[in-house]
Amino acid sequence: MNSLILGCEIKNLRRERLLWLLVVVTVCFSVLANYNGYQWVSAQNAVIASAQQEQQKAIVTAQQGLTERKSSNKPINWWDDPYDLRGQAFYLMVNYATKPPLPSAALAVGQSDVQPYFFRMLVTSKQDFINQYEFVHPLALLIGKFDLAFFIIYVLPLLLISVCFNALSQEKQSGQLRLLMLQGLSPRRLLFNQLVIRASIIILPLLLISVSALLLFSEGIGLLAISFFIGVVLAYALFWLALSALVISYGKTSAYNAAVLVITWLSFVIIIPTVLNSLIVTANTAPSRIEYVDSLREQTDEVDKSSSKVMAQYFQDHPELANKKRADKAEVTAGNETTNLPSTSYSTKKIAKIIATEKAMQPFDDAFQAVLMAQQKQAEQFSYLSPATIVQGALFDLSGNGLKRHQDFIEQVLSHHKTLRYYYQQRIVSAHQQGDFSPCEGCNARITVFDLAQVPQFTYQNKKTAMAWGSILMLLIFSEILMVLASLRLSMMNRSQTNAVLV
Amino acid sequence: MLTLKKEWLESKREGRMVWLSSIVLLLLGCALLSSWHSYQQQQVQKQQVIKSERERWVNQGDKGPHSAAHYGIYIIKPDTPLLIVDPGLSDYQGSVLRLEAHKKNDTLFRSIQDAIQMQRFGDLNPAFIMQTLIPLLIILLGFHSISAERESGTLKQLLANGLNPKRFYIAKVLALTGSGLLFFAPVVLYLMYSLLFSDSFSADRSTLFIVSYSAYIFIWSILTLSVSSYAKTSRSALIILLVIWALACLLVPKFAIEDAAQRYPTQSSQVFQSKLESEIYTPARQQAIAQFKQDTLAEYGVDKVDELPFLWSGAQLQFGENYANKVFDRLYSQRRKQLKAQSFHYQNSAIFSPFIALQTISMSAAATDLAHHQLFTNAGEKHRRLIQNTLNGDLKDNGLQSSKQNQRYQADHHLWEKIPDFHYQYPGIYQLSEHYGRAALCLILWLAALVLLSHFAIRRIEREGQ
Amino acid sequence: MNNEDQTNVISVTNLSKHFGSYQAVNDISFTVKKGEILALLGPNGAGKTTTINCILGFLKPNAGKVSIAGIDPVKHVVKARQQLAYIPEQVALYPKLSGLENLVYMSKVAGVNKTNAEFRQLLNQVDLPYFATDKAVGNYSKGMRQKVGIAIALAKSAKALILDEPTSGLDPSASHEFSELIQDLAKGGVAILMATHDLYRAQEDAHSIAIMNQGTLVHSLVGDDIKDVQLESLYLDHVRAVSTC
Repeated sequence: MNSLILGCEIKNLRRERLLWLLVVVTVCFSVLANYNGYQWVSAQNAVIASAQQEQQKAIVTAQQGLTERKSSNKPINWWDDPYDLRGQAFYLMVNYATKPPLPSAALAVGQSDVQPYFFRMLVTSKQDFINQYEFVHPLALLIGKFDLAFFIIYVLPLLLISVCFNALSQEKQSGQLRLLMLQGLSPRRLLFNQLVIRASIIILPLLLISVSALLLFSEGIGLLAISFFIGVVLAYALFWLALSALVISYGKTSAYNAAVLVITWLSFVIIIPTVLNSLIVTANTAPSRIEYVDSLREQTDEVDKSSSKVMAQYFQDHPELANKKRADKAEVTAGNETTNLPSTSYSTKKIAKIIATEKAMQPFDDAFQAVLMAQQKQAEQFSYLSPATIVQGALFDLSGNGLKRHQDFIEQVLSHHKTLRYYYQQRIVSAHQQGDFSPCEGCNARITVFDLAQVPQFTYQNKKTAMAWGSILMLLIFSEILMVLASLRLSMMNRSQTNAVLV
Repeated sequence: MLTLKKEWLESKREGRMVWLSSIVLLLLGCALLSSWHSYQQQQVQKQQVIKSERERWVNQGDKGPHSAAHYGIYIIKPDTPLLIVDPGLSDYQGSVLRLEAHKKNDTLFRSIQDAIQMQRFGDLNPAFIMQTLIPLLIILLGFHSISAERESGTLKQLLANGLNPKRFYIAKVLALTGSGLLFFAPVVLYLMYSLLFSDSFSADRSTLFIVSYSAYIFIWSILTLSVSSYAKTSRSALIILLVIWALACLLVPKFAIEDAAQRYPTQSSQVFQSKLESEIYTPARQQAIAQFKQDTLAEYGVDKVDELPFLWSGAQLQFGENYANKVFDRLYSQRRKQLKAQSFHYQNSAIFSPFIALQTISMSAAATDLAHHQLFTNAGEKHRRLIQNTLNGDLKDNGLQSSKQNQRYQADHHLWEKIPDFHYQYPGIYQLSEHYGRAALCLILWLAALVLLSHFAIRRIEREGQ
Repeated sequence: MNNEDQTNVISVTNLSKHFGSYQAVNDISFTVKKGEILALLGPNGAGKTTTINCILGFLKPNAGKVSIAGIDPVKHVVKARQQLAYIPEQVALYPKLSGLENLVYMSKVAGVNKTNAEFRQLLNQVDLPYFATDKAVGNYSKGMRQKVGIAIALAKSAKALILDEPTSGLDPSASHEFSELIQDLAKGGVAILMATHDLYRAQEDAHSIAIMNQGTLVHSLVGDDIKDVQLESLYLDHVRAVSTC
């Protein structure tokens, strides 16, 4: 019976010009969305490659110029000298921390256009570099890209509504439904078959094109990721089909169905997510960045003023960097500890101040982080209020362009930043103690950097994140509830009515 | 009048539309209130920080001018009260700029970087509601206005009874526009209130704002009714209008900005920053400094810098600044040129979407577009150069004595106070017409085209009765 | 099923149906035997459509009983519908499918398994022009659509056929063709209930006539009485009489 209904439906659909138009639109948009996704990934990879090339070039150039520098007596400032630890640390270092896109990155641009995916590292306070960003026209960020995630979340439901809104209702309006019911066909069976075939003409091309693109262009993509993606799309589509079935089961006109479904789309895809976001942000208001600047300046000034205290704390925290043999005459009390301060270079003081500033700003940074985590937690909890937010979370995580992976990247960047800082600070102290920075009056500093390849390099460690199968499950549960409600109403259509003829 | 009354009655009895309209009005009200509250808080914070920064600068103590140059200042981007209605690109541009020696910075702290991923759905602000949701509401209110009358046969009957098609159509347009403007009312009320009670309010920006939004609502009303006149059934009218809405408000803007970025690409920050460094800190620069030194020595007829009547390091520092400034001017203006081309290309696409036209004008009026941001950063850069000039000049003119005594020259608050506080006010909106002129023209063209279409729609209705 | 049920294919006994305070059908009774054509006459709002909806199982009567070949359409709606066919005023077919495709689909849905040749034969039997068989139904005239509707009824071997305003909009030639078709069906044993305003056709084709007005059965005619009576005057008398009461 189902194959009979499907066969008839296919025949009808094949002869509907509008439906062919919708198929063409689906194909074109799928191709465009995939293209945009891969373009973006390509652009990111190009930037990362360029950064790594620049880094490599700096290493090679330094290696090649070492002999000349060794023999050169031309005066050179340390801040211009690539062979000086201090110059490298504070000004010249070409050391990038980059976050390569995942094989599935083309599925969703996510937050990767607004969050930085590379940092040029220097031995400076983290506040100086962590707020870097890729400069693009801000309108492009506001409007967002036409990527697959956008197409799936926003456009796919509209396409499904366009093909499905008059299922069953058209037959009811024309009187065919009566005839079909008299021939023994139940409205439920008819509707579900109609929905399946109509949805297929939209979903199948979308999946075919997207999965083909993943297999052809996403090197290293796993079958699990592909399966998850297919699962998300099907579950989301199923939700909209189930919703359409419920609306149609009320037995109103096609125009009514269309209006109700569009309003529902508007609610689920536009209104609820924006309202939810606004509520979450209002309930968990982030500290002000304007006030953050004020605090940063205050703390920096404070650190500058209490230089000795800072140094004392520094050597307390890093006793290995204190050379007691060359202890300074002055003793300074930092807290309850009294430390003999070693003779310190400008650079060591600078690093100590950087650490002190970061420490002083840590509570402010933590406050931002705490609010962000609270917001994200609530967003995840309340994402179940809309299928659109569920799918967004799933696709962003799958693509690796969501908040989770970015937070992980930042953690690794900060860790690398600390590693780099420690690498330089101990060498700077050592070089200072050996007199390398001022071997003689009016001389250039000695070469203290021989091979830039020795400087710690950043490699992003991809954490294996669990697929959010729960998202698919929630969508399926919602769909099931809607389908059950629709089924109940459709069964009623098949029964004799007390109050009015439903068909 | 009769038609207007009938339209009003019908709308009132359409239960679900009353619900939806109430919800949208409520959202608009909440969005306005929330924005207003946020704005007030932000302005207090900004004023506070501006004051603190100035105090810090003036009271930074005695130090070398070049140390002060590195100490730098932070300046804050000013806002107009219309930000409450249209925050535009504020979240994506950053509002704090650091002015320091040797560097031209980009603004800091874009709030989008502090946001959760749900933020990519957009912010519930009044502009979003008016630009995106209200057209949809107009469509849902009006799609069946004429097509349903045709389907039910009442249109033929009305025409047979002597109805004037033109008056009939105009009445429907007015009724629908009136409904749309009803949603705009809270914003207009807010603008009027601010005009009366706020000092910083600009009448010209508000006027542009009100006129363009009214035109936008009018455009969607005529479009809805024209389609309804032509469509055979209400169903097809609804589908066509929804497709137009989705294209205009969701898809065309994305395609337009993507196309603009492809045609006029900007370099990535990584390449841009590398280029900046590699074009400033070059052997050519060293040579230029050396040449400047030679020229200066020759000018003053001395052999050594110690013999100059001023402190050479001050002059050298300023030369270095000027050298770098030339590179900044060249590279940043190349970037600005590309961004401007992208903006104009996007605006040109307003021919395909009235949403693009209104969005552009709205952001311009609210001073939340890229053009206003660049005006601010340009003013900031001008101030930065003033600071460097003043500080290096002071070092050059007053540092010699200390240098001769083998002491480091230190300036005090007298020098810091010489540098004026940074105050920036945006020019009048009509002076900036270059930045939204194309969009305004497109909006006018849309109006004209739809008025013409109305003429044909009226003829279509006339033919119904024949 | 008893003997009476076997001959009474459609049986309506003390049927009443109200919608709120509005009494649409009030205690009507009639039967349609095997091979009989009953014409149900009455003005708009008489209750004919409500009666038909009760017979088809779309409405639940408030009182009384309906049976189709002995099956209650309220309790066993699917079984009851297997016994009957229905041709509405506008025969609803898929406009983009041909007459043959519509017949095949509608019949197979009802569980009728015939070959395409057999379905073609059915269309031939109802005198659907040969050239129209494979053309899209969207281009059919009303008469042609009706013929497809009758073919669907034939294919199903329905015991009862309900017709709603079958001759409305048909030209005299098509009306005559239709008349011949239903006569053939009746001769084949199908019980036919025909709701109509067409007094001439009712008088020509029906074996019994029932006149309804304001929900009640106001007059019945059987057999020779039909031919002998001035049906129009009788109809108007009954319809006006009840309205003036």
